[in-house]
Amino acid sequence: MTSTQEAAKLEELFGSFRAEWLREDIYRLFNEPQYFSYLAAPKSCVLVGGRGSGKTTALKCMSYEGQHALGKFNNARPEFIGFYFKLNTNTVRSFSGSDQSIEEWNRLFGHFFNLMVCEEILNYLLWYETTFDAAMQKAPLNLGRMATSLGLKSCDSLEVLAAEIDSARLDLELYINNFSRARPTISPMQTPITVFLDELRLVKGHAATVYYIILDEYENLLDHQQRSINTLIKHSGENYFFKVGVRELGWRARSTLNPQETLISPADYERIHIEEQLQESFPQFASEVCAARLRAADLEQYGPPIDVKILLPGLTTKQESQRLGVAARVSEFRAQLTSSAMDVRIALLDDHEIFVFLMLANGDYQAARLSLHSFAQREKEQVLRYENYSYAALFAIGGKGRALNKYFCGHDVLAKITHRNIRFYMQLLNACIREQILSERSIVEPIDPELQTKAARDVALTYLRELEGVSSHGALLTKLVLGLGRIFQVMAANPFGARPECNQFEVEDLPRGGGREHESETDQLLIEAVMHMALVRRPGTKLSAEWDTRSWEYSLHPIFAPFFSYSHRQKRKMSITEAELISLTRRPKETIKQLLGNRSALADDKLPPQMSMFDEYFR
Amino acid sequence: MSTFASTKLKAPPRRSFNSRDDVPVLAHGVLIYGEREERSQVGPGWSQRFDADSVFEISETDSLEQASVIAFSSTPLQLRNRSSIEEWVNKFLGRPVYMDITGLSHHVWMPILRVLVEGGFQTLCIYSEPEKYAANPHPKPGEFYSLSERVRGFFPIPSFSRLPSRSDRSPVLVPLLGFEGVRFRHLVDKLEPNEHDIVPFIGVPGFEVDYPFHTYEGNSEILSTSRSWQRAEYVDAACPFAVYSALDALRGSQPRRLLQLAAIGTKPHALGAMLFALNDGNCEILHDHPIRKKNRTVGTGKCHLYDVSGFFGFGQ
Repeated sequence: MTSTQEAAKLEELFGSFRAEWLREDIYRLFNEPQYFSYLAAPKSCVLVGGRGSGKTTALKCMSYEGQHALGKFNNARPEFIGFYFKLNTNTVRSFSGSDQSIEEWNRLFGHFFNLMVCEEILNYLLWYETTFDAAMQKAPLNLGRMATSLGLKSCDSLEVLAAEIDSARLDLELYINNFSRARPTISPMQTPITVFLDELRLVKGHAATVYYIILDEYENLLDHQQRSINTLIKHSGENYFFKVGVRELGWRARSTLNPQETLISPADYERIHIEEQLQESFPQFASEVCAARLRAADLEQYGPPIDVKILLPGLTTKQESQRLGVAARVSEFRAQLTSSAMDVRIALLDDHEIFVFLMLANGDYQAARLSLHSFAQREKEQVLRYENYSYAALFAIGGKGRALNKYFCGHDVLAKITHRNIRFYMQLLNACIREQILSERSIVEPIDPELQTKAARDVALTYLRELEGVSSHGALLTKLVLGLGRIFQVMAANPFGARPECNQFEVEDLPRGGGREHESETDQLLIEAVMHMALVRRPGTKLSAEWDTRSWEYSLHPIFAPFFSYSHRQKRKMSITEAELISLTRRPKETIKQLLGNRSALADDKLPPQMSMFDEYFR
Repeated sequence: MSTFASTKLKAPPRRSFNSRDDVPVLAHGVLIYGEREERSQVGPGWSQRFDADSVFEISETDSLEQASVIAFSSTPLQLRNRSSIEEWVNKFLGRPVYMDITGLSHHVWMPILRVLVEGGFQTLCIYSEPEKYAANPHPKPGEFYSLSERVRGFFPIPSFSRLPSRSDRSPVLVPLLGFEGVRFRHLVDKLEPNEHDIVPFIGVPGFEVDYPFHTYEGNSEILSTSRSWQRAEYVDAACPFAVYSALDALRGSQPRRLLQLAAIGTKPHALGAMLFALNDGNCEILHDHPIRKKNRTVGTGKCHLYDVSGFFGFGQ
């Protein structure tokens, strides 16, 4: 391969990070995540994860086509058979509107759901017959019973039954487009699915098989539709289970059609939160996913397989501070050190250690000298001070206006800023490789930290722009990220004299009876922000109910940290009132100053070069 | 009905005028219009070209399923009920109907136009270009114009809902692009189409000579990340029949796949997509229902008259 071909191949492998964009490669490049065994167990599961967390890939790999492609489908005695469905917004919203009652919409939607699932079961039977030459027609399937359950004419073959289902779908489509037509026969929700699966069990080798109805993008369902399907989940378990893929906070309705009945975990389903499940193992998982793609890129001419941990080298704090120019920042101080025993000891300290205490002493050489001496003697108080400020100090070495004032590099750091999101990780690696190729270096050579940082900023900026399109509230989310990003960036650039690495917030609960006019708007903003990964959250000190937005602690998604240049580590938090949060999206300049409190003047500092394109927003 | 390719027309049945007042109106013509755009308002000069009882303003509400025809009935039209629309439009049998789509939302004019076309009415559509679009006072890169407050999200256009079957699992997405890249981005984010299956239509020539560049600039990010720029088709921004023809050609190369036509650009493009959907059983119209900003356009530019029934070879 020429270098251009290599670049194109890598771009294709790493640029196609959406499961939907990979087509059949999705199976070839699949790496089983740790939670897969839980997901494949015979019970209903709800797989929760943000976009790009790998939900679709995992769910598709559970389908019978996925299992077959992965070589795991035992045709003589299938362990489980998954029927995969992606719930399309435009389709499900066809079953809503003021021209019918909710009850009628639920009946029509239920019929559509029956048709969709039964069609897929038939497709499986036809596929099984074709793929394994299984002489399906000889199986004692009661086609008449199957057809009748959907209100269709009796059929004498699977093909005719499939055509009848297609006609019924078209009838329903015509009806919801023109309610002056005669209402077609509507099948009761669930009954046909049970009948079809009962019949499927009669196929040889299928008696003990477990059946999974896999519903991806559950958040697209309207609330009343979620309640309908919840009812099926509640009453599943006899001969099939549900596997649901949903974004965090996208499962809005938890009750069934009976308002008194709610789905409860683990009694009704197992909740699998991808980010929580991958907590410890994500760097390894990411490395394996990328290794599979690098193998597919056919780069063996370069020797042993490329290891992303080697491809993406990191920096220690001290190495990084040297690169950022700490030596120049402490040279004057060093020049004034004498030959006294105390100064000799201080002189042996690292430049970064000297810099931290120099800044903590606000440039007072004598005060710094005393602290450094205590630090050199490993005095606990000074060691603790150093540990608190050591990482935060990196952001202050370069000074204002410098294009690169902090590096974001290394496999572990890049894995952390993705917040366990595999799509972000592959985007980062893709961007790093692209930078490497642009700088005319070999794609197997370790990628320079500066190029990695540039790539991380590019990915963050791309996502910031994408945010505007993720929902009808996208513009608000972009404004929220820009506002919070500026606050954290200003605080990070000026860490001394304040609490270092303060990049989380909690929403201050206003006293009851006080002005809570922003309550629902704030809730909506926070829910949208978490659902679309503008923010990430973790349980606060109070007991956290999923929908109680005030009981959680929030931070910007760490993917934004390299762009705004603040610490990606979750360390300290500030309080923001509901009104301030909303105001941040409407009057950013004033609100940023308000939130910076006695350091508000810093908000007038020039924006860092990478943020200058948003200059208008902060004016 | 015939396709554009098979009508053997030397030129698409459209005419352009410097002003709406120059549009010739046939005797006993009926005018249907809405006033959601300043330039679509009907002054005395224009309304006098029609008989007094032949001018119908459609008033829209928040509902996507209803609209009111002020001069017809106090009961709103049910846009997903053909009889409800027919009850009104059947009064125009034998008369030419001029449907001015300039000031009507897609979810209103499309179902009504469908009934007119399928009912065999002599139907002509009118569209007035804006003289110019309002510039965005706080532009981000690639955003020059300030057109929409927000979008309501993807809801099917009444009478154009489609229930997919398994064979629709690898559709071809055809975004009919305008200036607002965020709408294209929202579309791709919601649908997550296969990147090889996006065929964007770009209005070339545009209403103005520089508009295609703004379309590219506004959509550059997502054209690039989805790599769909490689498959862009250039289609006259003011010609629905050119869209029809381009879709017809696309259908030739994709005979069995679902075509998802995303109307997120010009109204003439949306009209072309809708006409194609009437004639092709395997396509779906997608629309995100933007809430338009006030004063988003300034003045009135050229006015176009599209002979829809002539295109389909009836109603002459």
